[in-house]
Amino acid sequence: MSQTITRGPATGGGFKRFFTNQSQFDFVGRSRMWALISLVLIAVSLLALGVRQLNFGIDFTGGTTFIVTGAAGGFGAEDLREAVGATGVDEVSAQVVDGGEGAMVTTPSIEEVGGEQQDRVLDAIAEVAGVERGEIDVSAVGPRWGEQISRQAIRALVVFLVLVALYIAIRFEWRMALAALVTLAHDVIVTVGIYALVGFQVTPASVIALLTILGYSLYDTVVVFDRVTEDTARLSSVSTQTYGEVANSSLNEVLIRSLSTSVTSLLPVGSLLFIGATLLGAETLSDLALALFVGMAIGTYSSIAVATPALVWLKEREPRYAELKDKIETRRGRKA
Amino acid sequence: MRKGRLAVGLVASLAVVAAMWGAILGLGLEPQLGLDLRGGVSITLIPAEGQGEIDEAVLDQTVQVIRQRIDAIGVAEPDIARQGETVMVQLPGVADREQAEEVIGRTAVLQFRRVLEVIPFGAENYPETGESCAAAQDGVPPADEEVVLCERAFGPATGPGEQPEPLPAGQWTKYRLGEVIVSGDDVTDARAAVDPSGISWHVELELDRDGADAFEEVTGQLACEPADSVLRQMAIVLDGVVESAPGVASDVACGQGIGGGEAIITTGGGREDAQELAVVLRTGALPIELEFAQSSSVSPTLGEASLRAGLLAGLIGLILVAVYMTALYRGMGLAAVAELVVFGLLVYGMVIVLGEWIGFTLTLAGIAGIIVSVGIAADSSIIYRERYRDEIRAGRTVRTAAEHAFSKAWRTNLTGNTVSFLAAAVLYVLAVGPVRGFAFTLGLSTLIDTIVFGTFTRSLFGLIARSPKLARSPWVGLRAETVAPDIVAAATARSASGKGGTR
Repeated sequence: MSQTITRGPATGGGFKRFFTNQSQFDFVGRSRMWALISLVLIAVSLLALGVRQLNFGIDFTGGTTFIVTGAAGGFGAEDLREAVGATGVDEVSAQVVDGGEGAMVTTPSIEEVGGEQQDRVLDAIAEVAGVERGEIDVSAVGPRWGEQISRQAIRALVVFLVLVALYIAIRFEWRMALAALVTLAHDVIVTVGIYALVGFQVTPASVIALLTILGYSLYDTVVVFDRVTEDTARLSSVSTQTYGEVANSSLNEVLIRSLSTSVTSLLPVGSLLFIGATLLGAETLSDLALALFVGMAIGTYSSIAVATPALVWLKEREPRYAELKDKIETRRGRKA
Repeated sequence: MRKGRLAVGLVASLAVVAAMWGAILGLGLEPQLGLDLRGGVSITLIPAEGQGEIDEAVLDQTVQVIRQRIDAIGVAEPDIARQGETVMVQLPGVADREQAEEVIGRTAVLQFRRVLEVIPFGAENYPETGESCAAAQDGVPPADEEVVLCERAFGPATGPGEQPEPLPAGQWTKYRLGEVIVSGDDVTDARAAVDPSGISWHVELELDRDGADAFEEVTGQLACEPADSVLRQMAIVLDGVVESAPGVASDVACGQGIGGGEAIITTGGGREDAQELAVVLRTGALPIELEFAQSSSVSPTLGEASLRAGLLAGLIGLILVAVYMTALYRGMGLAAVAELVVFGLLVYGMVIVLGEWIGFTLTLAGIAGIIVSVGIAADSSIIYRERYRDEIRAGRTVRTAAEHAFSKAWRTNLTGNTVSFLAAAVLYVLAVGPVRGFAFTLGLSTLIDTIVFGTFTRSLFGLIARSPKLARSPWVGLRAETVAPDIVAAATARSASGKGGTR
């Protein structure tokens, strides 16, 4: 029996059918719609990037953050802003948490690490919050650090892409490598676009997250391609299905797995996001979780709606699959 | 695979976990925590621009000098490391960030030069002599020619006990100085000490052979100048700024100089001034100019709160995933939870063991890496179960379906994890700082996931599938009726109408 095609009479409603892997969504057949959606997403992202630009955190632009813990309370963010502003520093942002026990002041304009300006601001904050200078945690970033880490991130990205493309080309074939790279480009552009559009701050943690997302998205894509390779291996010139149709049923077979995996990946990341957001100084956690959250959602979408349609488009340009498709279409046309 | 070998796989993997945790608990091992989790000061330095390609040996030498300077201020367990051209200084516990910045930040190029002329602000030739003082501070003054440098000037003290206000660079005192006589490299030791009168502090200086000879010769020449002449002074220049310009004492004989390579610099200030000058003199000049890239301090309380939050997030995530898996796969979902627990114990155990073996430190980013890997581990279990469902739909028995599903899921796991591992490895090799901690735990988790999948998961799933009682139970979720009700319904319908055979 040709296993993947046999479908018994459906039992239960659409939900149950879905959870027992009997969904038959036509992902590949609607590839024009997906292409349109993805192109719109990319266009919006590029537009957002052009118009709004990315909101880089102080790790990229340089600047200083002061974190107060264990204060007695009784002061507000406005007090801090005023006191710090009085030392001649502009662009001060301040927030007070835990009913005045903790506070955070960020000043992008202090780019000198350990300079006099930082000294004066420390004094000002210590006075307002009523804590010792030494108890204030300081995180200062010089103006050239961001450029340094960006360069490293880009280098890491390029090396990673080359290695992965090689791996997929060897493990599967070059068309899959190409389709996977197209999917990755899509993910990066859209994730970055969302960051520009919403104005989320870009920190080193979000860059780490972006690279992880690429790993995830690829992992997802590879799992789908693995299945497609397995299923399409049976195709011959006398098959009754085109490459695209078989790929589509492969997609449906792994659909529940893709979604379950997304859920099980997003649950821990979601808890990270929640915990990170409620804790002062754990911005690394929440920045990371936010980018992962956004990126994984896009990665799940793209492994279904971008990777496989792109692969099918490439494969059906191969003579044998093009012929097969022609033959099947004429046969069906005659029957109809 | 035979049942016996499956049982061996299960027992062996549990034994490894038990042995690892037995050792950890028995020896009382704990993970090595990074500064962001235990509190401390972290400072990152990069070479200043315009120095071209920097030699590896010079960088190592620089790290060495920074280490000496940190040791000089007495911090416990400092960690000073170099990655490429980036120098990272990590001081655990309640280290004084400002003091550390101060001593490291003295990327001091130290020079002793003869004073040729002192030009105070307001003197006739002040404006046209040399560059403005603000410009002269930047960069290293050339060693073998005359230069004009400045000394910081202060206004009158505003009241008793108040620090005098520094004056703008435009009002500093200018010095016309001769060639470098002794440089920082020639200083072998410098100590702050109380002078014989017991009241004020001074710095005792020791020079190496070359330095001592040059110093003796020049001080001998200086001693021949009239007592009140500026020509008796020797300027101590740090990074192009005149720190002080002490005169040669009146009891030094003309033509004889200060011999033996030992000298005393009277600072005129208190203990702190003397100690700071001593540290700067002792540790000498850094071979290259560094600038601060980043500096941060985390108090131990904040660190502990972060650690707790990270672990809590991990635990909540694990519980949520466990609930989801059980809801989706019933008993096999619980088995998946067991797989996750084994995975979690191995990963956390390895973090502790590697902390002990290779000094791996767990940071906040590392914890994030572990939390992210929970998703990867859960995916392996999901892929297996989904593959199993497919095999059942293809009409296999529970037992053969479990075996076929494993070999297919195993291949997918290897392919997928190779990609994840590549990502982690690339990040680890090419990135600096926190990113590496993240990449390390992510890569480690990916490896452990594949190992657990090939041993524990395979054995557990296989053994359940081979137990007739468990395989038939609706609660375990292996029966065809549970996994693929439509197929079973179709088969039943066919056999009822007499057309189909039994499956």
